[in-house]
Amino acid sequence: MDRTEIMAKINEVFTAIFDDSDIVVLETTTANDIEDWDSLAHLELISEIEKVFDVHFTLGEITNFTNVGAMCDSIVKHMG
Amino acid sequence: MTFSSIVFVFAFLPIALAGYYLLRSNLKNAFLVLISLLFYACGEPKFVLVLMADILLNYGFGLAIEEFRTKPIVTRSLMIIILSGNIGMLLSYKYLYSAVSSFNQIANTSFSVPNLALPLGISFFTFRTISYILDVYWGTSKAQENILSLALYISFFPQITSGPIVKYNNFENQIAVRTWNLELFVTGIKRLIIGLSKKVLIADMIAVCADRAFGLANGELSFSFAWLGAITFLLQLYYDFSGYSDMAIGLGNMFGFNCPENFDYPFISKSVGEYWRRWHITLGAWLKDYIYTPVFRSMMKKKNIFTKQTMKINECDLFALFITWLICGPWHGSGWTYLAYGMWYFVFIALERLLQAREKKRLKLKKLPKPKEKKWVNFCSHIFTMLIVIFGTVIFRSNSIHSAITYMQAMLGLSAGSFVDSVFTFFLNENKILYFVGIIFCIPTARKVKEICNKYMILSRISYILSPIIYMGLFFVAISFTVTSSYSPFIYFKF
Repeated sequence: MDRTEIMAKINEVFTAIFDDSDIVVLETTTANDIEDWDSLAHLELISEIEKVFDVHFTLGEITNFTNVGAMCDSIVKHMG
Repeated sequence: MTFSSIVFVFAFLPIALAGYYLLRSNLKNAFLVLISLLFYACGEPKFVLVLMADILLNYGFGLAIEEFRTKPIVTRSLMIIILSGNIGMLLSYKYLYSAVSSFNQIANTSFSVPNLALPLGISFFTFRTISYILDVYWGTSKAQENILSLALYISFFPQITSGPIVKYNNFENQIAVRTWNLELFVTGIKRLIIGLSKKVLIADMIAVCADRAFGLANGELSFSFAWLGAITFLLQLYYDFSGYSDMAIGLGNMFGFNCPENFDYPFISKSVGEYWRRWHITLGAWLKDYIYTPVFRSMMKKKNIFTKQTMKINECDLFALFITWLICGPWHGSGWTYLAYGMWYFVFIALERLLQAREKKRLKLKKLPKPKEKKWVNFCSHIFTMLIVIFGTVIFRSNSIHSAITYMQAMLGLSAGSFVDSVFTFFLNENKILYFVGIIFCIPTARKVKEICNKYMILSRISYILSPIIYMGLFFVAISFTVTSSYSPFIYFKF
C-alpha cells in the first residue's frame, strides 16, 4: 500500500469518526483544523486506524502525533 | 525570591542576563543551571540537595533505560522503580502528614510522622522528571547523556516554581540549539512587564476583597458579598497565575527559549471542557499525555465489571477522565477540598461528554446535519460554564469542605446573612475601576484592540509609537507598587 492509498484510507476513518463526508485531511492537518478533534476523538481515531491497518501504535507515538502526516509515517513504519 | 520582587528584577535578572550573554555558547547551559540552582537556593537552601539528588537519580535511570532498550522486562522494571521514587517523593512531602493525620482521626489511632516542609515547586519539577522518564521509556526521546542538559530541563529557574510544565521532548531541542533573536528578547521583556503588571496591579489589589469574603464567619457573609468574593478570587487566581506564566514565558524568551502558553482567555469558554483547555493548558496537556491516554488505552481490552463485556470507547473515556481528575485535584494540595475540586470538574466534564455522545448518536441515527450554533444557546452555555467555574473556585479557595458548603449556602441565599451589606457596597464603591479593568482584560479585549489597530495604517503607527511608552509606564507603576507593598508570593508557589 503506498502513501496515497494510506492517506485515502485515513480520510475514510476521519469522515466516519466525525460523521462528516466533506472532511478532506492532508498530511499537514492538525487537531486545530477540525473542530471536534478533542482528546476522546483522537483516541477514537487511533483505535479505528489501528483496526483498519491492523497495526498497534505505542503510547509514545500516540502522544506525539503532531499531524496526520505523522500518523501516516507511523503506519508506514509498522506495515513496513 | 519571586519574579515580582525588587531583588529579582534589579539584581538577579540583570546579572543572570549579563553572565549568560557574555559567556561562550558552550558555557551558557552550565551557567543557566548554576543560576537556576542559586535562584532555588534563595528560597529553599536545604532543598537544593533534594533537587540535585532528583536530577542525579533521573539522569542515571534515564541512561539505564536507554542502555537496556532491547530488554523490555529490565526497562519496564527500571521505569517503575524511578517513577515510584519520583511519585513517592512527591507523596511523602506533600500528602504523608495529612494522610496520617486523617487516618488517626478516623481510626482513633496516634501514628506520628514528621510534618515535612514542602520543597518549592515539587509538584512541577516532579511532573517534569516523570515526563523525561516516560519519553525515554516510550522511545520518543533519547536519554540525555549530558547531565547539565537534564539539570537545565528540570531546574530552569523561570519554570521551576510554577511551570509552565514543558514536556521533555518539546524542550530537548532547545537545550541543544538556541539562536539569539532580538525580536524574541523584546517579546520576552514585554511579556515580563505584562506579567508583572497583572500580578502587582490587579491580582494583589483584588486579593483584599476575596481574603475578606473568605475570612468571614458563618452568618456574617451576605449574598452579594459572597458572590463578589468568589468572583474576585477567581480574577485574583487568573491574574496571579497567568501573570506568573507570562513572566515565566517572557523570561524564557529572554534566554532564547520558546515556552508553551498556559492560558488562552478561559473565561470566554462555552463548556467546562473548553474552560480546561484554556486554563493551565500545560497541566492539561501533561495529564492528557501521561495519565488520560495511558489509562484509556489500558482499559480498551478490559471487561466492564458490571456488563462483563469489553469496555466501550465511552466507558474507557469516563474511567480515564475519573483517574485524571482524581490526580489533578489533589495535585494542587493535600486537603480534602482539592480532591473535591477535582471531582467537581470530573462530574461536569463527564456529563458534558455523555450529552455530546448522545446528541452525536441522535444526529447520526436521524441522518441530520450538525445544527448551526445559536447565539442564545452559546450565551446560556457560557453563563452555565462560568457558574460551574465560580462554584469550583469556592471549593478551591476554602479551607475545608464545611467552609466551602457554608460559603456556597451564602451564594445561594441559604445562610443567615443579609442580601446586601455595607461591606459589599464599600468594596464595590472603592474598587469599581479595578474590577472593571480586571474583567475587561480577562477577555480578549487587548487582542481585539490590536487587530483594529493593525487594520488601519494611522492607528497602527500611533500604537507603534505609544506601545513602548505604555510598557515603560506599566513597568514603573508596577515597580512603585512593589516597593510600597509587602511580600506577596504567587498562589501556585504553595503547590
